[in-house]
Amino acid sequence: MMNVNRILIGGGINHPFGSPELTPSEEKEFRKGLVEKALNTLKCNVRD
Amino acid sequence: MLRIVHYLNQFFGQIGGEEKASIPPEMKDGPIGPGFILQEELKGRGKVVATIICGDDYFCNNMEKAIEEVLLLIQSKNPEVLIAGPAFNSGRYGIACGEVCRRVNKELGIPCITGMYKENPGVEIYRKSIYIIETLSSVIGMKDSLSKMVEFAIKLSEGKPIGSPEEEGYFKRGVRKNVFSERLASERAIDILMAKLSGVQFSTEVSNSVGMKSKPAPPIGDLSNAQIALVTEGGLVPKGNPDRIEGARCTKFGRYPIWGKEGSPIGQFECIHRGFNVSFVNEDPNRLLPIDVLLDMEANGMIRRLSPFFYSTCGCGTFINEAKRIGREITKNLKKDGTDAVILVAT
Repeated sequence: MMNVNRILIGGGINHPFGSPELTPSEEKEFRKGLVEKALNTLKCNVRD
Repeated sequence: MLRIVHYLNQFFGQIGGEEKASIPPEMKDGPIGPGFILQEELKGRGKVVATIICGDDYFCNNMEKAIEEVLLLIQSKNPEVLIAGPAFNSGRYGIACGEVCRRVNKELGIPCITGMYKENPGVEIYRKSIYIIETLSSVIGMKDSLSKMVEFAIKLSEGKPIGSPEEEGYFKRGVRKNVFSERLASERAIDILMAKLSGVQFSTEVSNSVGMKSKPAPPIGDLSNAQIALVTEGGLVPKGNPDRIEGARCTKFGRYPIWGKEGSPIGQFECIHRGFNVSFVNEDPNRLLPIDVLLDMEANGMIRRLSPFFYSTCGCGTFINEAKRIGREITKNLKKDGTDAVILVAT
């Protein structure tokens, strides 16, 4: 990725916010964890 | 004998310095100033039939008018090649040489060549549309530059095949040419890797554009007071793709209402990206855009609001310039929406 200052590794190219091998409720928990991480990243101070 | 017209600014045209930079174009018969070196380097293969001299300020301040006047003068001499400069590191002169070459080539169909120092702003503006020979930064390089320009001009006018930028000494034009190689890509890649590891000079076969760096945005303070939006290059669009967003080499983006807590997005949206297996996202679009989770967070006050619109384009063979433009346009919209921060989902 070019020019990106805050990067988070997701669940995979085909489902960045998903993990299809999990059950639906487990998958939503997994997604929630990733979103929390993403929001925390937005709160991080990134130095130039 | 090749008929050549030479373009110079007021300084090299021996009219004067900055105080004469506003003179309109004029034409003189035969070579002037550097034109004599040009004539010498031609070694009897061509003749400088006329020199056009124009002030740099005149050209750059009235570009459309100046170029029309210059084109008329050049046309009157019916040349087979136009040589401009070299402009070395002179910015306005570089732009004038670049524009003259571009327009003469485009409108009169005559091969054109100029020369510039790598940091001349004319290089970035014109290197993709014309041939610019790399020169030193100052007139010390005059003879050498003109010699290269002459050989290149003759090649162009004879329609001979043009070699790579490295072979010929012109600035990269962003043209990719397919060639057959005796050796497999894997072998060549290992060679490059070995050269890199042992500190030997090597050149890459695929160069990345450099120089793109953006300032990190300041951190978001209070999430519970923030509007978060979702943007993706994953190509999620309403079923039927109403805006006809392209699945590859995309030039568009869409702004679509998010799906709600109630009701399922499945079947209402589809993924038209042509660069990954879209079946998982089609099964559940929350796997691309975590709208279900963000709406929960909005409900429990962790964030103020999830933007009611998401933005979608396709990052699949997309040209960087298109991507930049799409990015700028999406940003304008995000600001209008009152969004404070974005989760940009890439596939």
